[in-house]
Amino acid sequence: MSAIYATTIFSLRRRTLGLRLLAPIAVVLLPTLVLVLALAFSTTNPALELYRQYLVPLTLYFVLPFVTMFMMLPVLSELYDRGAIGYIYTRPVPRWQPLMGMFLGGWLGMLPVFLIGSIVPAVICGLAEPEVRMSTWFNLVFGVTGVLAIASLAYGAICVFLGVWSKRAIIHAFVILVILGSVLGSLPGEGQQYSLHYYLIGLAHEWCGITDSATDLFPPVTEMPSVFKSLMVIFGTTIVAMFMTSSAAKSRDVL
Amino acid sequence: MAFRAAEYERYSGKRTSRPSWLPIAFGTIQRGWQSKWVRRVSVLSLILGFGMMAMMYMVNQVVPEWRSVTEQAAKHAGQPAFKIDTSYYLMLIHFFVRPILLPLALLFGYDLIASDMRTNALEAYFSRPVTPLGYLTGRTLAFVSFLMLATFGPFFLVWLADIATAPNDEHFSAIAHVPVAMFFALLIISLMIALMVQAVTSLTKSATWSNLVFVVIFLFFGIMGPVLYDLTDHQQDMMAFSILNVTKVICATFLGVDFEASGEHINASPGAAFGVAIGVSVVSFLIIMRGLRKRSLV
Amino acid sequence: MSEIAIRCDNLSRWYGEVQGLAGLTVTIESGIVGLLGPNGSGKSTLMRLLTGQIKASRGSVHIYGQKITPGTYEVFRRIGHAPGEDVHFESDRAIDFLCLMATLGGDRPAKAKDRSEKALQRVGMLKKASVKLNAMSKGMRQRIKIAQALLFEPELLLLDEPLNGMDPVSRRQTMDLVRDWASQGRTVVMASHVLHEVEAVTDRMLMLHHGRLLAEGRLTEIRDLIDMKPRRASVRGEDLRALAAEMLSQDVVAGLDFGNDGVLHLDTHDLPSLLDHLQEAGLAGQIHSMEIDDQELEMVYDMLVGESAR
Repeated sequence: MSAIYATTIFSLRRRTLGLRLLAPIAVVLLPTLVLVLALAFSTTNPALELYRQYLVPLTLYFVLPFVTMFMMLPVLSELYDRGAIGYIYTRPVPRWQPLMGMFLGGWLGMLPVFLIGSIVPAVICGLAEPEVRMSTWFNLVFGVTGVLAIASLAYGAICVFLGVWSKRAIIHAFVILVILGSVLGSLPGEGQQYSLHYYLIGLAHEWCGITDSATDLFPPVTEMPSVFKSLMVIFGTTIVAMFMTSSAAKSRDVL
Repeated sequence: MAFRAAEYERYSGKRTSRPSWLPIAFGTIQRGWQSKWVRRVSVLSLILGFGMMAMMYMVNQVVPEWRSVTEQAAKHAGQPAFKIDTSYYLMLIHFFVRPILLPLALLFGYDLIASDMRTNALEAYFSRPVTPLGYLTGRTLAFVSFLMLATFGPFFLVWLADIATAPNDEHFSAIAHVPVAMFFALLIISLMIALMVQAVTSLTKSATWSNLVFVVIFLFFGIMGPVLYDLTDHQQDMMAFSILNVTKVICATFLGVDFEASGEHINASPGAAFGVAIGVSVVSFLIIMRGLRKRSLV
Repeated sequence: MSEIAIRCDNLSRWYGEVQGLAGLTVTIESGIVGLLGPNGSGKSTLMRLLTGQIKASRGSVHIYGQKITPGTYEVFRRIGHAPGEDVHFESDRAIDFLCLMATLGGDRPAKAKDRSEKALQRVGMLKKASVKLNAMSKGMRQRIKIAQALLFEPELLLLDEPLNGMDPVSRRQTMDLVRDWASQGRTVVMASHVLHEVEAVTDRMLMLHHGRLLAEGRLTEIRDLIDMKPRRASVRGEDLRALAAEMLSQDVVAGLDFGNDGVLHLDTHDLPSLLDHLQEAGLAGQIHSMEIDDQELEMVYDMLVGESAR
């Protein structure tokens, strides 16, 4: 188990030290920038509604897949690209242990980014609409961060798998997370049930009380998935993706 | 044994009169052309232009009055009259410009400066009589050449076919300025894109990160333009957040298309669009030069 | 009889159409074995196959009796591997990199630090423990790579081009280390494309060429082969005809000819004596420049390939 711990710390340090967090933080704050513009130029949109109907859907639709790609794709793919993975694979531990550690380290590195992405706009909205109770904002921030943290487990595991399995991981990640994820999940119809995004919306619906979207990024569903079902799908995807990562690590040559 | 101070002595002899950016530009064009996908995207765009050119020519051979026939047919069907005018050329940016910018940025631009940083080639360049400005000029020229080939090329082909089959002098004079207008409009857009892409690649050595940033810039801001327009009680200039809308407005301004007359209100104003283009170019230029100067002794 | 460290049976690997290693059958016991071959001969491919980093297209490799496949890990307790590629943990300090490697070997953090310091001490890099890898010279990083290979006192040490980028002092220290390691009954496989590097530490070698085992045996036999063939010195200078006559009279030159561009080529079986004479001529101002062919290994390949072709 010390191998998992050591690689978790290694991966976390690699993802968060120096200026590496700047780009993901910039991405996570993009919706906040738009929110500020909307608050400044609009007289008809209350801050709480903007946060619920605009920021949360956009964060799930756009920020989550991109921040995950930014932070999780390089976790293993950069070690493969540089030939450094050989050092790790020639240690007397089963390969799944360092892989798990690298994944956990990357995932932990994403959490502060998501926290910033949900707290900063909440603070701005809170200042713009002081009559809304503090507890409402707390619930929203915890809800959104919770959804993002759980969602990024599955999205992150997929990215880690693609980083090991594919030399063109970024293209595959874009297709799976954005096209099969966000786009398919927010389109009306039966197809949305096959997208992870749909289950994130289910969690956001239950935990953040979000029922509608100002950006058409929330599907007009009549039946939202339950929290239990959503969690099962997300955790199930994470486990399957990590199994696939372990299997891909055995089949891909270190060159 | 005599020892001599091993200090650097600047070369003071005669230098070649050939500008230093020229070989860099040629080298970059060569490198781009060696990429299978860059070739495919550029050629595909030109083929589209050729296709439309050939279609116009063939239709003109079979039905010489096709322009008036299509105009009448649209009128009968209760549709707005179909006419090949400046608005038609503006519409063509959906085929020849918008689909090209992101793929070329991803395929050609992603590694422009990043790969030189990764491989320490920048130091090698700057140890020759190449200045950061010369380096940037060469790289930008090459990228702009590719963008112009893939965007302006097909426009020009369609325009040639249009001119060759022009029914009268009136049509000729209505579209005579199109190639010059499009050339300058696309030149401004290409320059902005080339500088922006290089600015991103000068900030990170990672091609993956560069590509993700391009996708964020094109897609996120592409979505954000209309979303902000809605959220800010229809502030038109919010559309300037979208690079694609900026492209459209710049082309429309040069072509002389009046959005008010055509009823298209969801567009940034020309001032905002040009402001974004100039702002992005200047900021990108400063970012690149700062990055290059750090690695240069010149 | 000592335990067989490495056994390769008909080991082959193709990269698409390119042959990386073809039909290698060999056993290696304790001691130092030099793995010789020019770039692209299959040395690194063999190293990667030995460490399970790539899959064999055909055949098998066993280390201490255990079959190696991607995913094998237990046997790595007995193997130390310093790959040919640079260390790519550049933002880490040397001690952090080694601690990570030690922890991945099963150590707790305190034990890992202790072990890492010992390994750094062994390669003479303890004082540089806190320096980041990207601030080190290539030679220093080479030594860090060797230190991580030595962490668990491995019975089998695989070193891929370990002397690349090292200064003469570090080279000597590393060679001493390798000799010392093997003297304790352990096995060292050292890949190199420089004959005299391998010659300095061992007399046993495997010679690869285009992915095939070209020769296996003792380096002294190779040295004999080299000595049978005259070495060539190319000299530029003044009055080369007089110099040629003088050299012929000294009986150290087996043959000579003049090149097109005013170069005198001297062939000899006794290179040290020829160099002594040329040094005297150089001091007398007769010689402006001189080059000795140092392509010993290429010469051996030419000869061996020629012989096998015949």
